[in-house]
Amino acid sequence: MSSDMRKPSYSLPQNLIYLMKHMWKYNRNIFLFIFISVLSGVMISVLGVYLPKITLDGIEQGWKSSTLLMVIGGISITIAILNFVQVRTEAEFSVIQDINRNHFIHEVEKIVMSCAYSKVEDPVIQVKMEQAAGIVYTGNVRVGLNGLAIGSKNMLNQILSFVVFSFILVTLNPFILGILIITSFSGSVIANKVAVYEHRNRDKWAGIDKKISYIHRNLTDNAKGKDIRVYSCVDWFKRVLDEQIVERFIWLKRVMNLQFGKQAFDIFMLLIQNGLALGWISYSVLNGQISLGDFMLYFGAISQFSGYVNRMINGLTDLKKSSLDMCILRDFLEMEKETEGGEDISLLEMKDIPPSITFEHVSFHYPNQEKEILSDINFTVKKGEKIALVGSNGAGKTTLIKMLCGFYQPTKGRILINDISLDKWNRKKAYQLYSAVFQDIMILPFSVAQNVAMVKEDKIDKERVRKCLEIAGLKERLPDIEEKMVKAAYENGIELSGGESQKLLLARAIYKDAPILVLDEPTAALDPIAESKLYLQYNELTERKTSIFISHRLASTYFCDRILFLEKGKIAEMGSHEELMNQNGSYAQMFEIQSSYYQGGVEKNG
Amino acid sequence: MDKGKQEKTGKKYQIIRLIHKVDGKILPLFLISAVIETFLPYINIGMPALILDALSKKQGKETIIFYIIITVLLNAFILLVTSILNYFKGMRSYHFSNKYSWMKTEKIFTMDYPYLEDSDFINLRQNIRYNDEDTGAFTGMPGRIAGIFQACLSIGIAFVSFVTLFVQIIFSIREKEGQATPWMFVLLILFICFSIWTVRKLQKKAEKSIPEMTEKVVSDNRASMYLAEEVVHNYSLGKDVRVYEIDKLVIDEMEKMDQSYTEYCRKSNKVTTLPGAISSASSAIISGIVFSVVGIYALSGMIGVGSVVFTVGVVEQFISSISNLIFRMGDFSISCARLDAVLKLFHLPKLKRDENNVVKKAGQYEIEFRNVSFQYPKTDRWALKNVSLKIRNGEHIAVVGTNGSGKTTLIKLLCRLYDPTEGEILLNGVDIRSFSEKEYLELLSIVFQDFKLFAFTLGENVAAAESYEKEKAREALIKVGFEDRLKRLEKGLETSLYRDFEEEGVEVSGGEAQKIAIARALYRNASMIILDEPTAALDPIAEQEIYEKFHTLVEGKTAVYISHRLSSCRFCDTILVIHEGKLVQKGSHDDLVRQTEGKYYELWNAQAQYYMK
Repeated sequence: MSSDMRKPSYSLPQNLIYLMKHMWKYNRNIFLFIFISVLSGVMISVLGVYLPKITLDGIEQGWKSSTLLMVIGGISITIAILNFVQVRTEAEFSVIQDINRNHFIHEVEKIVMSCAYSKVEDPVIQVKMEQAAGIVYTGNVRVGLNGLAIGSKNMLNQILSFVVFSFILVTLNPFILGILIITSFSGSVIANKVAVYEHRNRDKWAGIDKKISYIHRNLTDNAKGKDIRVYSCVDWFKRVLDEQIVERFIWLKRVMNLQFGKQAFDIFMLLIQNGLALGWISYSVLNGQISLGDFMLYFGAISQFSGYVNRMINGLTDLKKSSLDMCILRDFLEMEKETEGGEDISLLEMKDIPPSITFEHVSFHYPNQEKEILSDINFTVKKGEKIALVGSNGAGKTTLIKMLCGFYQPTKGRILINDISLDKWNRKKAYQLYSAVFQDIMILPFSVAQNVAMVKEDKIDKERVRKCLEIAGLKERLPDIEEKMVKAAYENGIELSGGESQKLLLARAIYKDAPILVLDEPTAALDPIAESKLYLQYNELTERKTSIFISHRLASTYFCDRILFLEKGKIAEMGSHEELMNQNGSYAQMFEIQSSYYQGGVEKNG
Repeated sequence: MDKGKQEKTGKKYQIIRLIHKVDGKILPLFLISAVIETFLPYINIGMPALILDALSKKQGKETIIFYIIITVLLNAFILLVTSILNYFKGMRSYHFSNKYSWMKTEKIFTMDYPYLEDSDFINLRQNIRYNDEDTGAFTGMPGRIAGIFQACLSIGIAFVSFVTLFVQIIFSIREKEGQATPWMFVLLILFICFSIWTVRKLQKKAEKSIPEMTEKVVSDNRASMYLAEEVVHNYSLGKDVRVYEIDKLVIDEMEKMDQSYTEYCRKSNKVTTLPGAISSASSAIISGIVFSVVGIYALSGMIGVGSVVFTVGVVEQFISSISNLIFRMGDFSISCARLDAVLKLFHLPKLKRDENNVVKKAGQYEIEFRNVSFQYPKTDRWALKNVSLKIRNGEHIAVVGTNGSGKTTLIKLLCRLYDPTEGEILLNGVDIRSFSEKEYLELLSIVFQDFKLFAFTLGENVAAAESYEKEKAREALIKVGFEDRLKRLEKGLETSLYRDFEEEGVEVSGGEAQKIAIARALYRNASMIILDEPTAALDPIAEQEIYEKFHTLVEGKTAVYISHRLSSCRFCDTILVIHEGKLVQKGSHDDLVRQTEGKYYELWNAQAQYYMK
């Protein structure tokens, strides 16, 4: 998907102003450093071409040795100081630029974490997230955010130098200056074409690079390492890798060919420039129009001039690219966060807890698909009721849960919590309603206590953490709640097994103590004893809560008031365990199948 | 101190040898290019000097025009050749970089499995990423080395020209008397030496502090990097992130990291830019001194105007080449230091014996654990203690136990991911360590609890290979109950899974993935099949399908089945009960369920009670 087909949302000047406003807000010093760095850079170049001129002039005019010494000394010391200053201000500029970049990085991260969840699961938006991340994370000075900031500073330098040297050269002969400018700028047409080509096709080889890094990552990853080893996948992976490398090389070659062509053209232009310039200067000296000192001045100026023009041209193309990146970034940053909009949930706190939940003619399909995952779902969960959600894989259970939690909005119908439609609430505040254990395991590189409490260190209720761990059955495994978790982050970080992790997630849900409890396969990784313990505690855990429990282990339905049986996106059966068993429908059938193995007298098949 | 220096030089040679190993031709190419590039500045010093002399001596137009043409053509020629060489350098660098990446990956990949879970090794890999990959420490080496070579060559040329001129001036001084004395030259040389010494000193300081600080920064920031990669940008955790409102928590932690990182950058900059800054300043001073010296000589008429320009140009080249050389040597040293981790990586030894006894195709395989005990590296706890058991050919075994009892550890030992700490594992009476890993693994088909599928096609995933027998793959998928889903896939076996490779890749659910993983094990058709929680993500109907067909699935194979769903025990011959690392019970279901004091009964009852009505 090439973005240059649409008009960019912001122009380069607009993006520059945006960036400058940002710099001004956070770290004004940077402007000082930019000013000093650019100014000293230009002065160094100018003094650098004047020094030979003055020396030769002094020699020709027969100055006294002491005069010559003083003048040369003065200029040289000035240049020396400027050099020192420039290097140091450059370094300081880099550091501040990095700080600025970090601000943007965090803005991107905030959005990723607090935009609507439906966006996160959308592959189109995931690409945007990766793009935005790439733009801010890159350390490359020619693309992305860095490219814009550092590129524009460099551009300032080139432009200023160009102007100053133009002034110098105009005193030689405006005509020559004109030729120099024309020959230099003609290169820009070619440079531009090459840059456009690169930009158009960047996505293609970015894709290949992604695949190459996928293969390297997989082969060196310890989680995937097991499967790769026991299934001897290396040769396979290597072949795919080699294919990708070849494909990437084709693109590389194309780009390099173009760049070579551009360079050859530039060299030809340089040939003309040098010939003309040298010729004219020599002619002028022969005619006594300029001194030998001037010869050196103009020769030096001309040598540097085309350099500045070239860098200006290349710099401009890079800036344009970076500006496009900036547009992508800014568009991304405007993505709505869930902190915005809707009503404050504190209204709910005044009403009934635990709440009732109603699905009113709810249907749902994913944004870019037609197929309805849920069709005309109608049910009400009374306050404090315990519901089991059961059905085959793909029936829509997880989708229903996602909608209950507010991650997705119904395409038809509405979801009511205590008779108030869920879409009225401020999303972020609404999350206070839920304690959940989902199927993915999120463990943060913090202390055990923090992983349970999910709040800042000083707000943790340590006694409560210990109690929750005990209820979840982790008291012995995690005696020290201050210990840090995650081995990849800390050398002695605690790593939990699958089952232990699931218990930790449960402790987390218990700690939060929210009025709606959602459990998605919470015992999948637990052994029978731990599982049974959980069921026995279920009443305790769900006291004063409305809860929904997805599980394939139908024994769990024993502890629920009612069961919702989903089949192909519709509620096929609903009722208590006894009622459904008496109905002898799909639920009863499923239950029979699972319990059959636990009855005595069942023979082994075959 | 001596040993340290020796080690460092040793490392530099190792790196050069490594470069040569990756690509024998790249260094020569870069060096040739460097030679050619060296001449360019001298042309633009020498030719103008000639032209100036010709102008000041009022020589004929033809001579001047001739000089101009030579200057222009030489410039164009060298630039063109440089451009061509850069083209080839670019291509070669690409292949160089890829081959190097592969060498590292291959090394990591062929390391014994325990390394992958070892925190030191994980640190090493992070270090490599931070110090090598992110900075191009190795891939930039040919350029760096060529740069050093170029600087040296340039110094050589400049030095020769400089000395020639110096001699010329000494002779001139002998002829005429003048104010100028050799003292100024001596002053010049002293100043040059002094500034070189200062810059070198500062650079050494930089060399030492960079890896230290980086190590510290890495360990301080590992938590935040983990957060960025595994939490923020791990989209599947989005639900948890929101429900538990941890965005603020995460951002706070990352902001703390920024501060520490900025501190590090500031300190690091002070150390690394100071040498550069001083070097810059001192070359300006030296330039000034040279101008003064030759200016005065020219005032006294000892040398011509052209020679002034030439001398200054040559000395400036000399100075800048020295300062270049110092910088590049420092940069080279720093980069070498950054590659410590990579060199370490390539020197890591294999842990296991890997003899090459080919496993005899016996057709009947019996595995025995004899007094096997096992501790994970760097832990005190015994994950398994004194486990002895036999798995006979064609037996169907269930392994049960509470979480953390050692079941998965048993499997890891069986797959030779780890070796026992004590005791032995025997295949048909022979210690499995005496077989080559590859041959031994061919006997096993495994579905791990945390199995992984890859972003390639469905058929490739089932076959775990690029080319495969379509019918066989289809059969395997049908056996695990995937037929319906397969029919609904437009591209059938050619469908790509996940979207890392193909944008139109299909996301498969947990249950579907589990079926594919089982199909993969079946396709392999090994003599022993091991299934670790293979139906955890399946609904009761799908689970039943697997159970029903279990005997068809595993046919005459030996099967080991780990599951928390004890219903699976009903169709196994023997059940092994593991508790706290020990084998506590063994027998058929009917036997064990009667031992009401035993662990099995406890486990069984805990689950079955809810189904008894």
